[in-house]
Amino acid sequence: MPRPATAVDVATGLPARAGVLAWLRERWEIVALAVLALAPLVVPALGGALGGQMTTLFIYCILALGLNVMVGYTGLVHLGIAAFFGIGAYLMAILTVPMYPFQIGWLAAAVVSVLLTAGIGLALGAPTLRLRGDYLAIVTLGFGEVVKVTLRNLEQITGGMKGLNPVPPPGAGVKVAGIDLGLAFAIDPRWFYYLSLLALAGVVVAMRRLEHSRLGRAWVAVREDELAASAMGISATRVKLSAFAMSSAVAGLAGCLYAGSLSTTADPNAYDFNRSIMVLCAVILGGLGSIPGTLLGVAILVGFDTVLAPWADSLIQQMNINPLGSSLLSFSGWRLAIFGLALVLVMRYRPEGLVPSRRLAAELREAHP
Amino acid sequence: MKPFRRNAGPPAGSSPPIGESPLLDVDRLTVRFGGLVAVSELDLDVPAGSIVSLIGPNGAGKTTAFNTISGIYSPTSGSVRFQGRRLEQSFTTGTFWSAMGVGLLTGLLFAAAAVDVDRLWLAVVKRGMITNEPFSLAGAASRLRGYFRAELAIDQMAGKWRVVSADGSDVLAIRRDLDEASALRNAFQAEVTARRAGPGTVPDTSDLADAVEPTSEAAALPRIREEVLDRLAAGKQRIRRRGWLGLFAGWVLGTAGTLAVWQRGRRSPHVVARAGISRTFQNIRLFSNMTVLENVLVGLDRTIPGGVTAMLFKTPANRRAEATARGRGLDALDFVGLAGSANRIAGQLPYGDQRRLEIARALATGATLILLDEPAAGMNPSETGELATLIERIRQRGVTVLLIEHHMSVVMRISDRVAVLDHGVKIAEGTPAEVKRDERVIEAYLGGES
Amino acid sequence: MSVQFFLQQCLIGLTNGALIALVALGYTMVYGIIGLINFAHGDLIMLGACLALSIVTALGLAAAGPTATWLGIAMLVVVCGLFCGGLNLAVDRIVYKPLRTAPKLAPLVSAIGVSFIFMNIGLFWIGPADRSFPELLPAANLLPGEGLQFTWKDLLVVLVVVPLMVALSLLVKSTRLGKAMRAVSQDATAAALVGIDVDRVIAATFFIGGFLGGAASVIYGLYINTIGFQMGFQNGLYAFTAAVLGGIGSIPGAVVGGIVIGLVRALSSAYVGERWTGAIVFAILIVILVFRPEGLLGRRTREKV
Repeated sequence: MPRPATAVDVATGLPARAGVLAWLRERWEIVALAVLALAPLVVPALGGALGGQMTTLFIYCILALGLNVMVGYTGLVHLGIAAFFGIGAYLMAILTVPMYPFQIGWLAAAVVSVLLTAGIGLALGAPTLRLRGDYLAIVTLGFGEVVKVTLRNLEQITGGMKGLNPVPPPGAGVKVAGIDLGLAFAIDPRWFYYLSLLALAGVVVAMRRLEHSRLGRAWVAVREDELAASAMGISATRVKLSAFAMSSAVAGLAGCLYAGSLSTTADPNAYDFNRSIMVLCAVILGGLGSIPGTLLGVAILVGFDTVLAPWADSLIQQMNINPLGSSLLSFSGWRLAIFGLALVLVMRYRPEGLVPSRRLAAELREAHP
Repeated sequence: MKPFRRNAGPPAGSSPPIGESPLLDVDRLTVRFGGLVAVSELDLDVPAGSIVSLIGPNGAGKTTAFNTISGIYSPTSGSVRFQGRRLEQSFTTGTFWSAMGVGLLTGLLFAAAAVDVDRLWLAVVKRGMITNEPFSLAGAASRLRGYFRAELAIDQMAGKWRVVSADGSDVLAIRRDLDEASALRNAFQAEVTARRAGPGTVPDTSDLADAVEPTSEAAALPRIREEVLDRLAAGKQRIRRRGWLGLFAGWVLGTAGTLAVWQRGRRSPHVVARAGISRTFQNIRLFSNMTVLENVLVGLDRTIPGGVTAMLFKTPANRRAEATARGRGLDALDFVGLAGSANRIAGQLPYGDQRRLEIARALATGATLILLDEPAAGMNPSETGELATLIERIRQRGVTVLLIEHHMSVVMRISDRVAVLDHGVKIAEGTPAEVKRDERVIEAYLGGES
Repeated sequence: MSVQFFLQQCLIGLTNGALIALVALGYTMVYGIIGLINFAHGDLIMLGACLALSIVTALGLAAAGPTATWLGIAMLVVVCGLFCGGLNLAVDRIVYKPLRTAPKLAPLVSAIGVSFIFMNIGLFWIGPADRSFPELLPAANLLPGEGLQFTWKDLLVVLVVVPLMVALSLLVKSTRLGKAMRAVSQDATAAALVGIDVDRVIAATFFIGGFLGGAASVIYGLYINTIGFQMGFQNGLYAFTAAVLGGIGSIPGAVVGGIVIGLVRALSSAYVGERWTGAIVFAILIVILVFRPEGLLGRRTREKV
């Protein structure tokens, strides 16, 4: 018997909402998708640099949703998601750049890199997931560092600090109605805007479905009480492994899109600990295990870095209160401290995040008096 | 009434009950934590279709016995058999092949590190790109062989052709013309082969290379050439040996590692649960932020068919499976009287309902034996009465019940047999009436003179 | 690659390992007592090194005579130790203490946040570029002959690390506080029931861990001679790996783990190449966790049901 949509509100014990609000709460993603899909027709700036920035935002959203599978649903601390992001990007590049003989099509390359990234996740998870949860944090952290260093060291394969480029745009050489698709992608950022938006929508739908399926329930059950789940016949190791693989696959997909949209893998330092932590911050800030929360968290953090910080910096410069250029008086100089403080404060006062997931809110709260 | 035997202390060579073998057979089970013996030489038979109670004062080792049966603890000695089988993951061909597979993967990883995968890539992939021929697997394979045989190769740099070692680290000659370079490569290769064969067969190649060196950087070439050729002659074996060594070391580590991990996970609660034993916990362990129905659906997890792709694409089969599971979940809830609370959050249920939900969840797994750990704890007398009825109804469904309980009203009313534990030792076993009269039992509960 | 070269590398590894062990102790003690991976520990040490650099510069120790230098170093160890210990204690009071009953994720994430704040402070303190730490000790070899190098710097590491470890093990083994610490690490509730002031024990643990870290920061500056605001991450990672390798929560384990990591780093830098050191350490960590998940000297933990 499918549960009626409004029952969720009853179940959370939240006050009943007005019809429109309740509908929005249930169907927010359709509204958001419609707005974002129509935006390029209304906002011309999306044809320029803003379009590129939005593409990056979408890609980070995908990455964060991937991380959310592990940290949010399954409750495993993962500090090296950027490594899988990087693996996806580099595999994509290796399979498509003209420097190498493979040059398989864009879509095929994306599929192969996503699968391989998931496989690498499995290979890392298999020996370590039976360990206590805390060990996983150090294993993923160490793995992140090792991947970064390895990408830097294998100069013949990865191009070292130069990275691999040019990653050709999707559909290069494919002509539709006389237009070379690859060329279109290369010239107009709106193409990538739509491609990454489509991918993001796909990932959101996939996550929604998994959340309400057998696998999603098993993830949450393992997070809430591993022993009880195990006594119900659920193999905690397999469930965690599947979360690890899913997480890696989605991160790999984000990596593919990233390499594609930048047409380069960038250098290995783009996939370091800082990136992992930024994504983790986004997931935690927005709300562990909550899809809208994760998306909001990414929007806030990326917005902070690309909009708020430059704006505040230029404001400080205009007001001429920092003639010596001291980093103490520049807004971006405080970036780390602001992120750090945000983490501490969120954990202290709102551990369930800005848009809490129904399932996790009570769990994080119950311990607080 | 099932046959029973009185059991004061473990009898030597006790024979199984006549007629049938028990569903659960605990044989001389001992569990020791460090110096503390929690359960000592426990013998317990649970016949199919019965309700057996395990009673005793606090700290008697009842829950430890439960935890050992359900695979959370490992027994120090003795055995637990369910339907005649030990509850351990057996070594299957699947285990064997996965150990082999992981071993092979680790071996390849180690070998890649040992033979320097970076240079291997250069030799096999990048080298294939310079002559404008389309990439072919055969070509790659031959270059791969070349790398392991430390053969010489042609390379292109700044519009000139170079004769280099397979990994590209040593340059032997530089030519403008590809054919000339190829000829030179073959000559050098012949020399390397000759040097490998031994001294005295070395052809003189000095005139081959030094004729026209197009750049100044080439001035040093003749000097290093001798050294390189010598090294290549010796190097063939080295790189191969390293490759094989890496493959072997990685294979051993990977296989042993898989087996070690497998061995540790052999007796895990999920193995026991899948064999058909399910349980509840003394201090309720629900998934308290999931809904009541979802809790039961986790119990039903194994009965829902379909893989990840089916879930992602929401195939009709997947929808049907989920719908069936929901139906069965609601049935299970209905059975314990919680159908009306299906969409509530489990943690917000009243205490007694939470206990009943735990039972519903355990039943949903399709278990044939259910272990109830103090299901009446914290219940009032009327709830306790209902619980006793519920347990009898569970038995009527064909599910055998092993029960730990302090409420004697429940134990005495529904049990077919009662076993009494004190300080980890079984001091009595029999029908409720017999146990009630047993002096040792009275002593254990009320305290003896000693 | 002679035997002598090998021995030299082992010596370097042992000295480095002692330093790593000192940092690893800070991780393992805090983990043992409240089950928190104190991510900020590495950055705490970075701040200690910043303080040490500031003091050395302010006092002009680089130009001082030998007696003044040694006195100065002793003073640095104490001052930086107190500074880091106090800071660690303060962070525990302000940040972690309110989260004692929260799920494990909360203090862990807070620790990452604190580590970021520390990094930002370090950035303001010494700037974004690496700074060189003055060479206070003569580079003369203390061993006879040309073969093995063992300089004053190496001696300093031994002189600081060994007494600190002996003191720590005495403290944990035979004092009341040590007994209380062991009790709390086994079962905080039970410890509280028998009258142990759990909060004080936790505070003491943070202080001692921080003190050891502060001492390590001074030695780090004097031994490695380069500090930067990002040094905390890398060193913290190695030290934490050492703690896990030895068995997290176990004090002798941290020492063994530190020395193993030090040796592995030195030998792999010498024989394989510096750039692969991280990967080799990681591979060894995975192998050990597969075969001995509780670490080399760790205890098996049993889940409470």
